[in-house]
Amino acid sequence: MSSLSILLVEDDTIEVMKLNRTISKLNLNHTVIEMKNGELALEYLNGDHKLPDIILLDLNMPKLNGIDFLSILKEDNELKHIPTIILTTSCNQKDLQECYNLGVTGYILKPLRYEEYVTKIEKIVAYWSINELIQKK
Amino acid sequence: MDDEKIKILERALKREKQARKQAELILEKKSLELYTIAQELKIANEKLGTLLNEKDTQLKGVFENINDAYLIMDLGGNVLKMNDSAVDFFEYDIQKEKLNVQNLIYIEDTEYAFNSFGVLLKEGHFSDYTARIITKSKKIKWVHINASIIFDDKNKPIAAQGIVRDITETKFNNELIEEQKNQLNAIVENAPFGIALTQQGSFIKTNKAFIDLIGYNENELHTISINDITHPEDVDKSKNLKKSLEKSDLNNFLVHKKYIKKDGSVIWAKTNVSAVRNTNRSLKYEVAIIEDITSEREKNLILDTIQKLTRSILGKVNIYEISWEIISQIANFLETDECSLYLVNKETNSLDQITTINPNTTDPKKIDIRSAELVDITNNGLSKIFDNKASKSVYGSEAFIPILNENIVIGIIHCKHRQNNFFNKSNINTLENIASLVAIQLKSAIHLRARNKAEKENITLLKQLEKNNLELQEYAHIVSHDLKSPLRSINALVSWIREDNQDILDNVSLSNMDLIDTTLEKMEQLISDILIYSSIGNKETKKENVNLNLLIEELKQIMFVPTNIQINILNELPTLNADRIKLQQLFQNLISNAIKFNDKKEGIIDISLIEEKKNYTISVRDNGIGIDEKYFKQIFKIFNSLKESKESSGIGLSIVKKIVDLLGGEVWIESEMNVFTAFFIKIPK
Repeated sequence: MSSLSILLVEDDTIEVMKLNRTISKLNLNHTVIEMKNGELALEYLNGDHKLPDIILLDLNMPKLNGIDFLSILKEDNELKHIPTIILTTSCNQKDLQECYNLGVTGYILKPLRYEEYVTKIEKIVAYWSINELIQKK
Repeated sequence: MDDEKIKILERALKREKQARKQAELILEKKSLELYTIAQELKIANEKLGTLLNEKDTQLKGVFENINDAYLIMDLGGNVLKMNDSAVDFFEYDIQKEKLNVQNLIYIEDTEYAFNSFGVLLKEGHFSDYTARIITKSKKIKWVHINASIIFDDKNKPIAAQGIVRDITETKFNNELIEEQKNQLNAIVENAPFGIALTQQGSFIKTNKAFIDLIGYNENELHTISINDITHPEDVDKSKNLKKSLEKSDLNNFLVHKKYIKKDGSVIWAKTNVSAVRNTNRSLKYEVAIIEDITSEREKNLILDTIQKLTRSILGKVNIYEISWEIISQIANFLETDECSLYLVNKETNSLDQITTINPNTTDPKKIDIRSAELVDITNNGLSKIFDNKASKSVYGSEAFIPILNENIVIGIIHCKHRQNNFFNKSNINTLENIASLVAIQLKSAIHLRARNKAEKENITLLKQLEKNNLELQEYAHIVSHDLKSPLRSINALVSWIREDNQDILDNVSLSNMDLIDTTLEKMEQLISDILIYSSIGNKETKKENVNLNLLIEELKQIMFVPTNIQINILNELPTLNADRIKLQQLFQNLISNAIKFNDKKEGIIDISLIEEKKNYTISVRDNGIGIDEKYFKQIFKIFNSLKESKESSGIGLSIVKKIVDLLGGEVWIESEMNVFTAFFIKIPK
C-alpha cells in the first residue's frame, strides 16, 4: 500500500479533524492537505506544489462551492486527471447527477455516526492506495 | 094709293134695283177674284207639290244611300215620308199604316222630346237630340237626331225633317268606356302604391297613394320635379337610368331608391319606371310605380342586422372585436353618424368607451356612471332618447340603450343621428333587441377578460411559486446539510471523548453518551424526513409501471427487518403507473411503522389487495400495539408521533398521506388496541 497525498477541500473544522483523526487512528501513512474552500484549493493546485493523489471534496462551502470548483478542475488539462471523491451530506439527486457528469470518481455521504465515517474513509483510502496514479510535477 | 106713296115705292124699287145691281156687280167681281185666287192657289199647290216632290226626290237621292233613317213629318207629328232605313229601324211602314212620332217616344224622354220640339219650332233646327225611342216591336233604342223645319215660300213652317242615327251601340260602348275609365281611375286612385305620370321629370298626374307617400299635394307636385324629391345619394343613379330610357336602351327599370318627403323624412321605395313612347320612339312620358318599402326594408334590415350580428359575434371572445361588430352593424342599420359602446366599470364607477365609430374621437371616453342623465339608464335599465333641437348640438337626436345581463346593466350602446326625432319606439325596440342579443356574448367576453387577467396573474404567481418552491427545496437541502453537520460533529466529538477517555468514564457517563448518540440519530432522522416531506410534490413526477410485489421485495432487502417480523404478501399486488420513488416512500413508511410499533414475539405484517371496479385498495396490517381510535385522524398530521420512539420522527404518516393525496387516493386506518393496526390505501386505477 502506497502512501497517498490527499487534498481535503472542506470548510468545517471538525470535519477536517475527523479525517485527520481517522487517518492517524488507522495508522495510515497518508498526507492530508487541508483547504478551507474551493478558491484556496485552486490556488494551491495552481501553485508550485506537488499535485495531490486524490481530492476529497465537500459540496457546501462558502465562496467557490464544490460543484463550481469541480467544473474548473475538470476544465483544466493539468488537473482534470486527479480522482475526486465527493464527501458530502447532500443526497440531492441533482447534485449527484451533476457531479458524476462532471467526472467524479466517487460520491460518499457523510454518515452521522463517526464509526461509520471511519469505515467509509478507510475503504476509500484503501481503494485508492492500491491504484496506479498519475504522478505529475 | 097716293102718288106719294107710289113715288116712294117707285123710288124704293128703283133703289132696290140699283142696290141689287150693285150687289150683283160686287158679287160678280168677288167671284172673279175668288176664281183668280182659286186659280192661284191651285197653281201654288201644284208648285208646292212639285217642290215637295222635287225636294223629296232630291233628298231621297241624298239619303237613299246612307244607313241613317230619315223621315219627314208634319207639324202634328204625322210622318209623311220615311226612307228604307227608317222603315227598318222603326219597324213601321207608312205605306201600310199611319205613324205619329209620338208613338215612338220613350215614356221617360217625353218631356225632353216636347221641349226639344219647341226649340225646333222656334229655332228652325235642333241638333244632337239624344234620347230613347220604342220601335214597333217594343225595342228600346238610343237615337241621335238632327232635325230642321221645312218652310213654304211664305216662310211658313209646314213640316219637319230629321236624320235619325242609331247610337244604341255607341252609347253602350261609350258607357262601357266611361265605366272602364272609372274603374281604371278607381284602381289607380286606390292603388296601394304610388303612381306618377311624368314628362321630363315633371309631374303630369299622380294618384292618392303617391301624394300620401311623398307628402306634397297635387298642386305642389306641379311645381317640383322628380329630382327634387329624390334623395341626393340616389340622384345620379336615377339620372343615369332616366338617360337610358331616353336613349331607348331601356323600356323600363326597377330601382330601390330613397325619396325625401315634404317633412324631410326619408322613405325607401321600390320604383318601377316604364317608358311611354311617341310613334317615333321618342320618350313621351314616364310612368313610375312607387312602392313604399321603408317598413319592409326596415324589417328585413332588422332581421338582416340581427342575423349578421349573430353570425359575426359567434365564437368571438374578444370584447373589442364583439363591440366593434355590434356598433358597426348598428351604425350601418340606422345610418347613424356616431355609435359607441360603453362597458360598466365597477371599479371606477364609470362607463368606459370600448369602441366607437366617430371620426372625431381619439381617446376613449369615460363617462361617470352617476351622471344625472344616465341614472335612468344605468339604474333602471331603461333606454333613453334625447332630442337636441334646443341645444346647439350638431346631432339632431341621440339614444342610449342599456345592455342588460340578468337585470344588471353591463354596458350602454350610444347612437347619434343628425336627424331630429330620428329615434322612435320601433328602432329603439330593435336596438334593445340587439342589446339583449349581444348581452350574453358580451358578458362571457367580460368574464373571459377577467379570467384571462386572472390567469395571467396566476401564471406569474405560478412562476413565482415554482421559483419559490425551487428555492425552498434548495433551502431545505442546505438547511438539512447545515443542521446535520453539527450533529455529525457532535457525534464525532462524543466518540472521541469516549475513545480518549475509555478508562476514566464510568458506566453512567458511557450510557449518557450513548443517549447523546441516540438523540443525534433521532434528530438526523427528523431532518431527513422533513426534507422528504417537503420534497414530495415538488419534483416532477416520472410515471412508470411499478410492480408493487417487486417493490415490496426490494424494500425488504433495503430495510432493516428484525428476525421476529415476517412480511407477507397475501395476494398478488397490482402494477401501478406512478412515480416509483413515491411508491417506495409510501410503502417504506407503512412497513417501517408496522415494524416499529410491533411488540409481539412473532410480528406479522400482511400486505393484501382488494380489487374493485375503479380502485385498488391495498392494506398493510400488523399485529402490533394498535392505535386508539381517537387518534385515527391525528396521526396523519405532521409532527404527530404518538409514541416516543427513537426511530420515529412523527413525519412518516404525513408523508404517506401526502403521497396518497398526490396519487388521488385515500388513506384510512382500522385498529384494535394491542391486536392489530391496518392501513388502507385506495388508489384509483
